[in-house]
Amino acid sequence: MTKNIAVSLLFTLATVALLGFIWFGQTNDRLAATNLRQDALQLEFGQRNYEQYCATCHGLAGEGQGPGNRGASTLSDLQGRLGPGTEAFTRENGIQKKYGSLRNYVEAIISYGKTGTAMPAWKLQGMRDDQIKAIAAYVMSMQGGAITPAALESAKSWSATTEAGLPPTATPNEPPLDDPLAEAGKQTFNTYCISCHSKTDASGAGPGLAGLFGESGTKAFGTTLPNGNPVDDANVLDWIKNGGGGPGVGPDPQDGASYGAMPPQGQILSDDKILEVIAYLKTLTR
Amino acid sequence: MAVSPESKRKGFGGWLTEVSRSFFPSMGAREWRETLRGEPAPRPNPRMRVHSNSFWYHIRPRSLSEEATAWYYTMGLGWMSFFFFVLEAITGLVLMIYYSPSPNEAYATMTQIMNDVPLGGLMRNVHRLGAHFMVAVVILHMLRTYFTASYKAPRQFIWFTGMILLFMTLLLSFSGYLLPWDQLAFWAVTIGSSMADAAPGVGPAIGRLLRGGAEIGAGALLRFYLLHIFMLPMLTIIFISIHYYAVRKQEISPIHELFENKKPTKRKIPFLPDQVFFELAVIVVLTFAFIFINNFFWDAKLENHANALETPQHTQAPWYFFWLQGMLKLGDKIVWGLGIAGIIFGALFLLPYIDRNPSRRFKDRKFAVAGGIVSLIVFIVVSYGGLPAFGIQKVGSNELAVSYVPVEGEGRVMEVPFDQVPQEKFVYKVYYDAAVGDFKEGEFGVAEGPLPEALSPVFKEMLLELKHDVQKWAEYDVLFVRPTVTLTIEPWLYQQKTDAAEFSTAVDGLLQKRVTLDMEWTTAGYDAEGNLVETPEKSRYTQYKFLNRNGVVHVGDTEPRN
Repeated sequence: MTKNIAVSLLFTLATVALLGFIWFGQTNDRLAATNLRQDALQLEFGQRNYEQYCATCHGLAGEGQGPGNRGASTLSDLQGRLGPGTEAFTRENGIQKKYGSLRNYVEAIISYGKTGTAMPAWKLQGMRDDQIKAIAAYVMSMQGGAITPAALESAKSWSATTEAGLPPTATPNEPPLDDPLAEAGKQTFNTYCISCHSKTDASGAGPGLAGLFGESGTKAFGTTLPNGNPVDDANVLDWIKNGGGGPGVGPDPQDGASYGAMPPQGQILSDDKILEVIAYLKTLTR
Repeated sequence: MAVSPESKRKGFGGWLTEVSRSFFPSMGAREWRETLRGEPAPRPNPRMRVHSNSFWYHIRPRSLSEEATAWYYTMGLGWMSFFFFVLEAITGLVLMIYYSPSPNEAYATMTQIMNDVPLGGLMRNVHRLGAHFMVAVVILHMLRTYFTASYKAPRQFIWFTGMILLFMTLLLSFSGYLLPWDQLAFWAVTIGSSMADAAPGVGPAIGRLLRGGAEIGAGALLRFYLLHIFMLPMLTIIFISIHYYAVRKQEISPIHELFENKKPTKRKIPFLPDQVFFELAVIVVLTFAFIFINNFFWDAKLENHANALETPQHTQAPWYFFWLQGMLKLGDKIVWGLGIAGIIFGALFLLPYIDRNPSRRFKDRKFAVAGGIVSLIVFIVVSYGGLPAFGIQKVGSNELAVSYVPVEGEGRVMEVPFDQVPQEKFVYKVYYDAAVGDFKEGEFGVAEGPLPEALSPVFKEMLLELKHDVQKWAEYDVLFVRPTVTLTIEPWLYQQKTDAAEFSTAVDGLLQKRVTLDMEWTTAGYDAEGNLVETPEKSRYTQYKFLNRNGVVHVGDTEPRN
C-alpha cells in the first residue's frame, strides 16, 4: 500500500511535469506555427477553389484571359497594379476610399461580381464566405513576377489541352469605344452574351458574331439569322428578345458546327439594353 | 458528518483530524499515519466506519475477495473500460468548450483546438485514441468474460447489459466520427448511415432520422453531436450503473470454479484503503502513460474539409467495423450486412441462454472454448478481408496517382519536406526499356543515368519507391502495360513581395511547387476468348497537386509530422 501511494504521488508529479513540459513547449511556437499552418491551409483551400471556379476564365496561373480568352482580367501582381501606392488605389473614389484595403476589394469582387463583365456574383451563387476569403488570399498571393515563366507556360498548355477548340477570341483590355451607346452595349455583351458568343469567328455554344452586320455576315450563318431572316436591327432585336433556332431548325450553319438554341433574353434585357448590344455588334468586324 | 469518538483532541491536531475526516471518511491523523506506514488496519476497521454506511458502500463492496482482484484473472478490463469512459468524458468536456457543431464552423474550430488552444491538440489526441482504446478494452473484456464463462447463471443479466454497453461504446465512438467535419468524417458516416438505409422497411426512415435529411449536412452534424454528447453518454451512464450494480449483487465470478482442484480463497482485501490506493496508482500511471503516448507517438489526423463532391479513393469504416465491411464484400448487403450481422449480435445477446451447460470448468467447455477461438480467428480474417488492401480490383494508374499526388489528403510526395523537394524544374521518368526488358529511370531527355548528387536523400528515396511501385503495378495490373511514368516538379508561386525581407533569395521565398504525375501506357483488353490483347492505342492519365511551404511540415520540424 505504501508502494501504491508512492507510485501515485510520483506519477501525479510526473503527469503535472509532463503537462507543463507540453504546455511550455507549445507556447514558444504555438502562435507562429498556427499562423503559418493556417496560412498554408487557407492557401491550399483557396487554390482548390480557384482551380474549380476561377481558373476556367482567369487561367491556372492567374495569367488572365483564360481558355478561349474571353477577356477575364489578369490576376497576377494585383498588389503591384492595384495595391497601396498605385493610382487605382489612391485616386478619388479609388479602392482605398471605397473598400479600405485591396483584400476587401478582391473579396467584394468575388462576392458580388463586377458590373459590365462576365464576372458573376459568387456569393449569390452560394459560395461560402470561407471559400471567398481563401480564394482572395490565394489570388493576393499571385504577385508580380511571382508566377514563374515555366508555370505560365505550363498553365497555358494546360488551358490549351483542357479547352481545345476554343481559340482566342478577344483582345484583352479593349480600348473604350467612341460611341457611348456601343460602349454601353459592350458592357452588356461582356456580361450576358460572351459566355456563348465570341467576338470573332470562333464558335462556342453559340456562333462567333464577328461581321454580323458586315457585308458577308458571320462565318456561321452568313448574312442571315439562323431563322432565315436577314440581319437588320428589328430582326436581331426580335432574335435576342425571343430567341429561337437550335439544331434542325432553319438553315444549317455554314461552318459545319452544331449550335444550341438561342435562349430568349427578353426577361433579362430591356429593349434599350438590346439596342445598345446591337450598336456594339455593329462594331465587330471580321 | 458524525464525529468519531477518537477525535476529541483539542487544538490544531484535532482540527486537522476533523478536516481529514470530513474529506476522507473515517481517516483521521492516526489512520493516515498507519496507512502511510503500510500497517494493517485494526479490527473493527475504523477506516470503514463512514464508508460502510455511505453511497460508495453500495457500489463498491467493503472488501473484495482476493480471487476477484487477481490481475491475471479479470485483468481489470471492465474497470479499465470505465476508466476510459471517464477519460473520454473529461477530455470531451474540454473539447466541447471550443467546438461548434455547424458545418460552417466545425472544421475551423477543430483547427483552432489543434493549433490555438493550449493543450488542445493533446486533448483531442487523448479523446480520439481513448475512444479506440475504449472499444478495444470493451471487446477484450467481453472475450475474457466469454472464455472464463462468467456469463453463466446467475450472471446472465450482467452479460446482457454488457452487450448493451458494447453497442453504446461502438455508437459513441462512431457518432464522434462526424464531428471534425473532415473528409474521413464525412465519408465514414456516409457509409455508416447508408448501412442503416439498407435495412428493409424501416431502413430509409432510420437513415433520414439519423441524417436529418436526404444528405449529410447541418442536420446530420447536429444530430450526431447531440447523440455523441448527450443521449448516448446518458444511456451509457445508466447502463454502466445497472451493470455495476448487478456485478456488485452477484459478485465477480470466482476463479476457482474454472479448475477442478483449486480451493476457494477466503482472504479478503479491504476496499479502503488497500484497493482504493491500488486503483489510484493505476489511474495515475495510466493517465501519465496515455498523455505520454499521445504527445510523442501518436497524432490524430485531421483531413481536408468535408466535401461531398470529392470521394476519397479508399473510404473505410473504423477498424472495429472492418469485419462488417469484409462481410459486405461476400455478397448481398441485406443478407450479409444485416442478416448475418443481426444473427451474430442476436446470438451474442442470448449467449447465456443458448449455452445451457452449467459448468464453468475449462474441461467441460471444450466445444465452447474451441468455438470461441475459431470465431475469433474468423473475425480477424473477415476484418482483414474488409481492408481496402484485400480483394478490390485496382487500376495501376489510379493507385499510383492516389498514393503519390492525391486530390484529397497527403500523398507520398507531400511527405518529403518542402525544402528537400528540388527548387528548380525537375523531371523524373520511369520507363520500360524493351532492349533490356526492364524498367529504367532517368531525367527527362537523359536516356538513362544516375540521379543528380544534389538531390536530398529523402526525395531520392521517394523516387526509388515510385520506381518500385511502377514496377509493382505493371506486374499486378495486367491492363497497365509497359507504363511510362513522369513526375514533374516545378516552382509555381513565390512569397508575397511584402514578406520577401525574411528570405535571402527569391528561391527561398518559394511558396508553392506543382507536382505533376503523368502516366502513359499501352492499352490492353480481353478478346472474345478471354485472351489478353494489346491494342495499338496508348492511354494517358495526368494528375497534379500543389505543394505548399509549411503546408505539411511544422515549424522546426525536419520530418513530416504524421
